[in-house]
Amino acid sequence: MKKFIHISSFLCWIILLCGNLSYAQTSINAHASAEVIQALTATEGAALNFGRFSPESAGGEIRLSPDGIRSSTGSVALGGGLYNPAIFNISGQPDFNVVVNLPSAPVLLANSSNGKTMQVTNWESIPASSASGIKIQSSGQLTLNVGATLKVGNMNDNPVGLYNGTYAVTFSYN
Amino acid sequence: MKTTLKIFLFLVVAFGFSATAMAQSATATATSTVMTPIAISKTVDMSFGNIIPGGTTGTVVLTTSSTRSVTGGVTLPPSGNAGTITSAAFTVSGTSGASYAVTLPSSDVTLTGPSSNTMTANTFTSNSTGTITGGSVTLSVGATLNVGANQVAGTYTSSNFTVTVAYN
Repeated sequence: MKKFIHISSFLCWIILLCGNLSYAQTSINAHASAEVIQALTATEGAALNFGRFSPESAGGEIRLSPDGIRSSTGSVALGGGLYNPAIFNISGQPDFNVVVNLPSAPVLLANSSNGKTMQVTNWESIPASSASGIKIQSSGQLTLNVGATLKVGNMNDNPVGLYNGTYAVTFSYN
Repeated sequence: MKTTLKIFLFLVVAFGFSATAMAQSATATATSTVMTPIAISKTVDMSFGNIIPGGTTGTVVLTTSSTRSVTGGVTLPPSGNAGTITSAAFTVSGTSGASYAVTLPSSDVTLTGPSSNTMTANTFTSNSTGTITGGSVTLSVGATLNVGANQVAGTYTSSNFTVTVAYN
Protein backbone atom coordinates (compact mmCIF):
# COMPACT_ATOMS: atom_id res chain seq x y z
CA MET A 1 0.00 0.00 0.00
CA LYS A 2 2.74 2.41 0.91
CA LYS A 3 4.55 1.52 -2.24
CA PHE A 4 1.43 2.30 -4.17
CA ILE A 5 1.21 5.71 -2.52
CA HIS A 6 4.80 6.40 -3.42
CA ILE A 7 4.29 5.42 -6.99
CA SER A 8 1.13 7.43 -7.35
CA SER A 9 2.61 10.51 -5.75
CA PHE A 10 5.58 10.12 -8.05
CA LEU A 11 3.23 9.92 -11.02
CA CYS A 12 1.48 13.04 -9.81
CA TRP A 13 4.80 14.85 -9.79
CA ILE A 14 5.54 13.70 -13.31
CA ILE A 15 2.14 14.78 -14.50
CA LEU A 16 2.51 18.15 -12.81
CA LEU A 17 5.95 18.64 -14.24
CA CYS A 18 4.89 17.57 -17.69
CA GLY A 19 1.87 19.82 -17.41
CA ASN A 20 4.08 22.76 -16.58
CA LEU A 21 6.39 21.88 -19.41
CA SER A 22 3.60 21.93 -21.97
CA TYR A 23 1.96 25.10 -20.76
CA ALA A 24 4.91 27.17 -19.64
CA GLN A 25 4.99 28.92 -22.99
CA THR A 26 2.71 29.38 -25.90
CA SER A 27 2.82 31.12 -29.24
CA ILE A 28 0.48 32.86 -31.59
CA ASN A 29 0.79 34.03 -35.19
CA ALA A 30 -0.19 37.39 -36.60
CA HIS A 31 0.05 39.29 -39.87
CA ALA A 32 1.38 42.72 -40.70
CA SER A 33 0.10 44.77 -43.60
CA ALA A 34 0.70 48.16 -45.16
CA GLU A 35 -0.73 50.09 -48.07
CA VAL A 36 1.71 52.00 -50.22
CA ILE A 37 -0.16 54.71 -52.05
CA GLN A 38 0.79 56.56 -55.21
CA ALA A 39 2.80 59.65 -54.57
CA LEU A 40 0.98 62.73 -55.81
CA THR A 41 2.57 64.25 -58.89
CA ALA A 42 1.49 67.18 -61.03
CA THR A 43 2.65 68.52 -64.36
CA GLU A 44 1.62 71.65 -66.18
CA GLY A 45 -0.16 70.58 -69.34
CA ALA A 46 -0.73 74.13 -70.56
CA ALA A 47 0.46 77.50 -69.28
CA LEU A 48 -2.06 80.17 -68.38
CA ASN A 49 -2.25 82.54 -71.31
CA PHE A 50 -4.48 85.64 -71.32
CA GLY A 51 -3.78 86.19 -75.01
CA ARG A 52 -3.60 89.46 -76.85
CA PHE A 53 -5.42 92.63 -75.89
CA SER A 54 -5.10 96.37 -75.86
CA PRO A 55 -5.54 98.34 -72.62
CA GLU A 56 -6.72 101.43 -74.47
CA SER A 57 -7.23 104.62 -72.42
CA ALA A 58 -8.12 103.45 -68.94
CA GLY A 59 -7.30 99.75 -68.73
CA GLY A 60 -9.54 97.34 -66.87
CA GLU A 61 -9.70 93.64 -66.19
CA ILE A 62 -9.63 90.46 -68.20
CA ARG A 63 -11.17 87.37 -66.70
CA LEU A 64 -10.10 84.08 -68.19
CA SER A 65 -12.35 81.43 -66.69
CA PRO A 66 -11.09 77.89 -65.98
CA ASP A 67 -13.23 76.62 -68.83
CA GLY A 68 -11.50 78.95 -71.26
CA ILE A 69 -13.94 81.85 -71.67
CA ARG A 70 -12.40 85.30 -71.81
CA SER A 71 -14.20 88.51 -70.92
CA SER A 72 -13.08 92.05 -70.23
CA THR A 73 -14.14 95.14 -68.32
CA GLY A 74 -13.14 98.79 -68.59
CA SER A 75 -11.57 99.98 -71.81
CA VAL A 76 -9.68 96.75 -72.47
CA ALA A 77 -10.16 95.52 -76.02
CA LEU A 78 -9.60 91.82 -76.53
CA GLY A 79 -7.54 90.82 -79.53
CA GLY A 80 -7.23 87.67 -81.60
CA GLY A 81 -4.81 84.84 -81.18
CA LEU A 82 -4.46 82.09 -78.66
CA TYR A 83 -5.56 82.22 -75.05
CA ASN A 84 -6.18 79.38 -72.67
CA PRO A 85 -6.54 78.49 -69.01
CA ALA A 86 -3.77 76.59 -67.25
CA ILE A 87 -4.17 72.84 -67.28
CA PHE A 88 -2.55 70.64 -64.64
CA ASN A 89 -2.34 66.89 -64.96
CA ILE A 90 -2.30 65.26 -61.54
CA SER A 91 -1.69 61.62 -60.87
CA GLY A 92 -2.13 59.87 -57.54
CA GLN A 93 -3.95 57.17 -55.64
CA PRO A 94 -7.35 56.42 -57.21
CA ASP A 95 -10.34 57.72 -55.24
CA PHE A 96 -8.23 59.65 -52.74
CA ASN A 97 -9.17 63.22 -51.92
CA VAL A 98 -6.72 65.97 -52.67
CA VAL A 99 -6.61 69.57 -51.58
CA VAL A 100 -5.70 72.18 -54.19
CA ASN A 101 -4.26 75.49 -53.09
CA LEU A 102 -4.35 78.30 -55.63
CA PRO A 103 -2.35 81.50 -55.11
CA SER A 104 -4.04 83.54 -52.40
CA ALA A 105 -2.07 86.75 -53.03
CA PRO A 106 -1.94 88.55 -56.37
CA VAL A 107 0.78 87.31 -58.70
CA LEU A 108 2.79 89.86 -60.68
CA LEU A 109 3.44 89.58 -64.40
CA ALA A 110 6.42 91.67 -65.48
CA ASN A 111 7.60 93.06 -68.75
CA SER A 112 11.27 92.26 -68.99
CA SER A 113 12.10 95.22 -71.25
CA ASN A 114 10.57 98.04 -69.21
CA GLY A 115 9.87 96.52 -65.77
CA LYS A 116 6.16 97.35 -65.90
CA THR A 117 3.88 94.91 -64.12
CA MET A 118 0.31 93.63 -64.09
CA GLN A 119 -1.49 91.81 -61.28
CA VAL A 120 -3.23 88.46 -61.60
CA THR A 121 -5.92 87.90 -58.97
CA ASN A 122 -9.09 85.95 -58.28
CA TRP A 123 -7.65 82.57 -59.08
CA GLU A 124 -10.28 79.94 -59.80
CA SER A 125 -10.27 76.34 -60.86
CA ILE A 126 -12.37 73.48 -62.18
CA PRO A 127 -12.96 71.46 -60.10
CA ALA A 128 -13.19 74.33 -57.64
CA SER A 129 -10.43 74.40 -55.06
CA SER A 130 -12.96 75.21 -52.35
CA ALA A 131 -14.83 71.98 -53.02
CA SER A 132 -14.48 69.72 -50.01
CA GLY A 133 -13.61 66.65 -51.98
CA ILE A 134 -11.59 66.88 -55.16
CA LYS A 135 -11.10 63.23 -55.83
CA ILE A 136 -8.51 61.49 -57.95
CA GLN A 137 -10.42 59.54 -60.57
CA SER A 138 -10.39 55.76 -60.58
CA SER A 139 -7.86 55.95 -63.41
CA GLY A 140 -5.42 57.58 -60.99
CA GLN A 141 -5.56 60.84 -62.94
CA LEU A 142 -7.12 64.23 -62.38
CA THR A 143 -7.17 67.24 -64.64
CA LEU A 144 -7.40 70.68 -63.07
CA ASN A 145 -8.11 73.80 -65.10
CA VAL A 146 -7.04 77.11 -63.61
CA GLY A 147 -8.15 80.57 -64.62
CA ALA A 148 -7.71 84.03 -63.12
CA THR A 149 -8.33 87.71 -63.61
CA LEU A 150 -5.70 90.05 -65.04
CA LYS A 151 -5.70 93.69 -63.91
CA VAL A 152 -4.59 95.91 -66.75
CA GLY A 153 -3.48 99.51 -66.36
CA ASN A 154 -3.70 102.17 -69.03
CA MET A 155 -1.30 102.46 -71.95
CA ASN A 156 1.26 104.29 -69.79
CA ASP A 157 1.13 101.72 -67.00
CA ASN A 158 1.18 98.78 -69.34
CA PRO A 159 2.79 99.58 -72.66
CA VAL A 160 2.93 97.11 -75.47
CA GLY A 161 4.96 93.99 -74.78
CA LEU A 162 5.08 90.52 -73.33
CA TYR A 163 4.36 90.14 -69.62
CA ASN A 164 5.04 86.98 -67.77
CA GLY A 165 5.42 85.57 -64.27
CA THR A 166 5.28 82.43 -62.24
CA TYR A 167 2.87 81.18 -59.62
CA ALA A 168 2.50 78.07 -57.52
CA VAL A 169 -0.41 75.68 -57.22
CA THR A 170 -0.03 73.04 -54.56
CA PHE A 171 -1.68 69.66 -54.37
CA SER A 172 -1.75 67.48 -51.31
CA TYR A 173 -3.65 64.47 -50.03
CA ASN A 174 -6.45 65.49 -47.76
CA MET B 1 13.95 24.05 -19.18
CA LYS B 2 17.28 22.65 -18.06
CA THR B 3 16.31 23.14 -14.46
CA THR B 4 13.14 21.17 -14.97
CA LEU B 5 14.99 18.27 -16.49
CA LYS B 6 17.35 18.13 -13.56
CA ILE B 7 14.49 17.92 -11.12
CA PHE B 8 12.96 15.15 -13.13
CA LEU B 9 16.17 13.12 -13.04
CA PHE B 10 16.54 13.68 -9.34
CA LEU B 11 13.05 12.33 -8.74
CA VAL B 12 13.77 9.22 -10.75
CA VAL B 13 16.76 8.58 -8.55
CA ALA B 14 14.77 9.27 -5.44
CA PHE B 15 12.14 6.87 -6.60
CA GLY B 16 14.75 4.20 -7.06
CA PHE B 17 15.89 4.70 -3.50
CA SER B 18 12.44 4.72 -2.07
CA ALA B 19 11.60 1.48 -3.80
CA THR B 20 14.60 -0.27 -2.36
CA ALA B 21 14.17 1.29 1.05
CA MET B 22 10.57 0.14 1.24
CA ALA B 23 10.89 -1.44 4.58
CA GLN B 24 11.70 1.83 6.30
CA SER B 25 9.51 4.20 4.41
CA ALA B 26 8.38 7.46 5.81
CA THR B 27 5.66 9.73 4.57
CA ALA B 28 5.98 13.36 3.75
CA THR B 29 3.75 15.96 2.18
CA ALA B 30 4.61 17.71 -1.01
CA THR B 31 3.01 20.98 -1.96
CA SER B 32 2.77 22.44 -5.37
CA THR B 33 1.01 25.47 -6.81
CA VAL B 34 -0.73 24.61 -10.00
CA MET B 35 -0.64 27.65 -12.28
CA THR B 36 -3.20 28.41 -14.89
CA PRO B 37 -1.53 27.58 -18.20
CA ILE B 38 -0.36 30.74 -19.95
CA ALA B 39 -2.22 31.37 -23.17
CA ILE B 40 -2.12 33.97 -25.91
CA SER B 41 -4.70 34.80 -28.53
CA LYS B 42 -4.68 37.37 -31.29
CA THR B 43 -7.15 40.24 -31.24
CA VAL B 44 -5.94 42.38 -34.14
CA ASP B 45 -3.34 42.01 -36.87
CA MET B 46 -0.76 44.73 -37.35
CA SER B 47 -1.54 47.40 -39.93
CA PHE B 48 0.80 50.22 -40.87
CA GLY B 49 -1.92 52.08 -42.78
CA ASN B 50 -1.41 54.16 -45.90
CA ILE B 51 2.05 55.46 -46.63
CA ILE B 52 3.53 57.55 -49.42
CA PRO B 53 6.95 56.48 -50.66
CA GLY B 54 9.58 59.00 -51.68
CA GLY B 55 12.63 59.11 -53.88
CA THR B 56 14.80 57.81 -51.05
CA THR B 57 14.36 54.97 -48.61
CA GLY B 58 12.62 55.53 -45.32
CA THR B 59 10.89 53.87 -42.42
CA VAL B 60 7.52 53.96 -40.73
CA VAL B 61 7.67 53.35 -36.99
CA LEU B 62 4.40 51.96 -35.62
CA THR B 63 4.22 52.25 -31.84
CA THR B 64 2.38 49.90 -29.52
CA SER B 65 -0.21 52.66 -29.08
CA SER B 66 -0.97 52.66 -32.83
CA THR B 67 0.70 55.93 -33.69
CA ARG B 68 3.12 56.41 -36.54
CA SER B 69 6.23 58.38 -37.29
CA VAL B 70 8.47 58.36 -40.33
CA THR B 71 12.09 58.76 -41.25
CA GLY B 72 13.78 59.26 -44.58
CA GLY B 73 11.81 59.75 -47.77
CA VAL B 74 8.51 58.37 -46.53
CA THR B 75 5.56 60.68 -45.87
CA LEU B 76 2.18 59.97 -44.36
CA PRO B 77 -1.09 61.15 -45.87
CA PRO B 78 -3.32 63.29 -43.61
CA SER B 79 -5.84 61.58 -41.36
CA GLY B 80 -8.56 61.54 -44.02
CA ASN B 81 -6.45 59.22 -46.16
CA ALA B 82 -4.43 57.53 -43.43
CA GLY B 83 -6.04 54.11 -43.76
CA THR B 84 -6.18 51.58 -40.94
CA ILE B 85 -3.42 52.10 -38.39
CA THR B 86 -3.19 49.57 -35.62
CA SER B 87 -0.51 47.80 -33.68
CA ALA B 88 -0.98 44.07 -33.34
CA ALA B 89 -3.00 43.21 -30.23
CA PHE B 90 -3.06 40.01 -28.24
CA THR B 91 -4.70 38.78 -25.07
CA VAL B 92 -2.36 37.01 -22.68
CA SER B 93 -4.07 35.00 -19.96
CA GLY B 94 -2.69 33.06 -17.06
CA THR B 95 -2.24 33.20 -13.31
CA SER B 96 -2.74 36.67 -11.87
CA GLY B 97 0.44 38.16 -10.57
CA ALA B 98 2.66 35.80 -12.51
CA SER B 99 5.52 37.31 -14.40
CA TYR B 100 6.01 36.38 -18.00
CA ALA B 101 8.30 37.07 -20.89
CA VAL B 102 7.43 37.96 -24.47
CA THR B 103 9.48 36.78 -27.40
CA LEU B 104 9.02 38.89 -30.54
CA PRO B 105 10.33 38.14 -34.03
CA SER B 106 14.06 38.75 -34.02
CA SER B 107 14.55 38.56 -37.77
CA ASP B 108 12.97 40.54 -40.58
CA VAL B 109 9.35 39.82 -41.46
CA THR B 110 8.70 40.22 -45.17
CA LEU B 111 5.62 41.93 -46.52
CA THR B 112 4.82 41.05 -50.11
CA GLY B 113 2.95 43.32 -52.48
CA PRO B 114 2.14 43.62 -56.17
CA SER B 115 4.49 41.97 -58.68
CA SER B 116 6.39 40.30 -55.85
CA ASN B 117 7.66 43.63 -54.54
CA THR B 118 8.53 43.39 -50.88
CA MET B 119 9.16 45.45 -47.77
CA THR B 120 10.49 44.26 -44.45
CA ALA B 121 9.33 44.88 -40.92
CA ASN B 122 11.69 44.57 -37.96
CA THR B 123 12.53 46.12 -34.58
CA PHE B 124 9.38 44.71 -33.04
CA THR B 125 8.35 46.28 -29.73
CA SER B 126 5.76 45.38 -27.10
CA ASN B 127 4.10 47.18 -24.23
CA SER B 128 4.41 44.20 -21.91
CA THR B 129 4.65 45.04 -18.21
CA GLY B 130 5.91 41.52 -17.60
CA THR B 131 3.12 40.66 -15.18
CA ILE B 132 -0.29 39.16 -15.74
CA THR B 133 -2.79 41.16 -13.76
CA GLY B 134 -6.43 40.23 -13.29
CA GLY B 135 -6.13 36.95 -15.15
CA SER B 136 -5.47 38.43 -18.55
CA VAL B 137 -3.72 41.40 -20.08
CA THR B 138 -3.68 43.02 -23.48
CA LEU B 139 -0.35 42.90 -25.24
CA SER B 140 0.30 45.36 -28.06
CA VAL B 141 3.10 44.89 -30.56
CA GLY B 142 4.54 47.53 -32.88
CA ALA B 143 7.32 47.41 -35.44
CA THR B 144 9.32 49.38 -37.95
CA LEU B 145 8.50 49.11 -41.65
CA ASN B 146 11.32 49.65 -44.13
CA VAL B 147 10.11 51.33 -47.31
CA GLY B 148 12.15 51.41 -50.48
CA ALA B 149 12.77 54.40 -52.72
CA ASN B 150 9.74 54.77 -55.02
CA GLN B 151 8.23 51.64 -53.49
CA VAL B 152 5.62 50.31 -55.89
CA ALA B 153 2.09 51.22 -54.81
CA GLY B 154 -0.23 48.51 -53.58
CA THR B 155 -1.23 46.42 -50.62
CA TYR B 156 1.56 44.56 -48.86
CA THR B 157 0.88 41.69 -46.46
CA SER B 158 3.22 39.53 -44.45
CA SER B 159 3.07 35.84 -43.84
CA ASN B 160 2.64 34.83 -40.23
CA PHE B 161 5.01 36.15 -37.63
CA THR B 162 5.12 34.55 -34.22
CA VAL B 163 4.80 36.05 -30.75
CA THR B 164 5.60 33.74 -27.86
CA VAL B 165 4.81 34.22 -24.17
CA ALA B 166 6.24 32.17 -21.34
CA TYR B 167 6.17 32.24 -17.58
CA ASN B 168 9.42 33.39 -16.12
